[in-house]
Amino acid sequence: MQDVLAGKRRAFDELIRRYQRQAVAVSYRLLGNSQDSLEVTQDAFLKAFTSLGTLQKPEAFGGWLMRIVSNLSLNYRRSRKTRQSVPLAEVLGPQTGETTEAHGGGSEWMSSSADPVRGLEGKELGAKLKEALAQLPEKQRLAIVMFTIDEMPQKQVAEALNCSVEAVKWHVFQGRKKLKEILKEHL
Amino acid sequence: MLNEQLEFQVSQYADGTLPAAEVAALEAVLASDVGARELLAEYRSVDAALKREMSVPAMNWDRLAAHLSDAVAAENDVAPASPRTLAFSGWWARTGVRTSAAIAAMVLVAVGTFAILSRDRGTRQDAPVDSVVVNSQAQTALPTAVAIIDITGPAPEAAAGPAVAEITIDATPLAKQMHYGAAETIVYRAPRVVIASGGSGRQDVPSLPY
Repeated sequence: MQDVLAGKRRAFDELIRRYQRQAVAVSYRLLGNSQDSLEVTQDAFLKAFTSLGTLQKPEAFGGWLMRIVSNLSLNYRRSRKTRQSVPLAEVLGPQTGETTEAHGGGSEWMSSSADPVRGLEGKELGAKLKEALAQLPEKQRLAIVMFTIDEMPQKQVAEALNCSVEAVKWHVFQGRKKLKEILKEHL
Repeated sequence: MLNEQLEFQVSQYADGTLPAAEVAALEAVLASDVGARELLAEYRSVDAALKREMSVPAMNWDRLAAHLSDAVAAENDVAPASPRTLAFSGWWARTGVRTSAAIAAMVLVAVGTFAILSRDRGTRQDAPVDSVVVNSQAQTALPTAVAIIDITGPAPEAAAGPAVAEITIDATPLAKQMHYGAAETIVYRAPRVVIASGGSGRQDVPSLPY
């Protein structure tokens, strides 16, 4: 982080490698579409890079980045009906020998071999889960996504949500409780 | 029906975040309360479904990292300042550019004016004194840095009668009062011209300044 703050752009690559999975995962679970999540992830890293000077605690970069990711994802979600999407796959162009996967929105970075074939029942439950998650209040949804699904440390989730660790626990509990009620017939 | 506090503890127990001091007590409840155990099972079921059904498709992370790095590099090329200075530059761009441009313009004008004044004053002090006799009563030293009209020829005629008009070319009284230095530069010609009465049209000769 110190190298990045000192202006060494290459040092930022290390942060990209360290946090890209988490960023894509959070964004994907909030948007439900890999193409959109990749676009948001790229925007988030660009925004983080150009705004590093505003980061008060360098050690909190992970939580700070996830806050950017979640904010951009939620904004993206709100504007998705009206915005003209530019898929990254088109920007980069097709690559020879790589498979484009359609699961959750196609992406050239997806590996078809690692994508499990899911049964109708699983797909139905997945759809119900997404629907149920979408019904949760924003903080509860983010807490569930970051803590329960992505298994981020509670402290990092707290930084991302700009709240206390205790509040994160409470959001997780409340969100989980509502999901249990919504999905009781499917679990 | 479990109370909410116990339910909150069960939720934390399910994900392993229940404080150690509370674990033993809750496990005792779980051992004796079927409803608490069912609740724990339901929470674990929700968590398992979330992790299973909301999994992210596998991706080529190396390639994505390379793409993100390129995107950041392109952004960096557009604004080739360090991240630290980028934030400062943003602030500078927002608040400083207009002010600094105005200050720079003012300094430029001030320096230019000072240079002109200094040049004229210096010349005026150092240059050899030339005199132009426009009137027998007025002798004025002219700076060599400006055009000097050297009048040669017969001496001006003495006025035969009283002046019919008197024209003063100089800074205004107010400007003089304010010691407005520029007036000295702007008006450096003979400060006073007296048009005397007489029959000759000598002072209207085109080669003369007045």
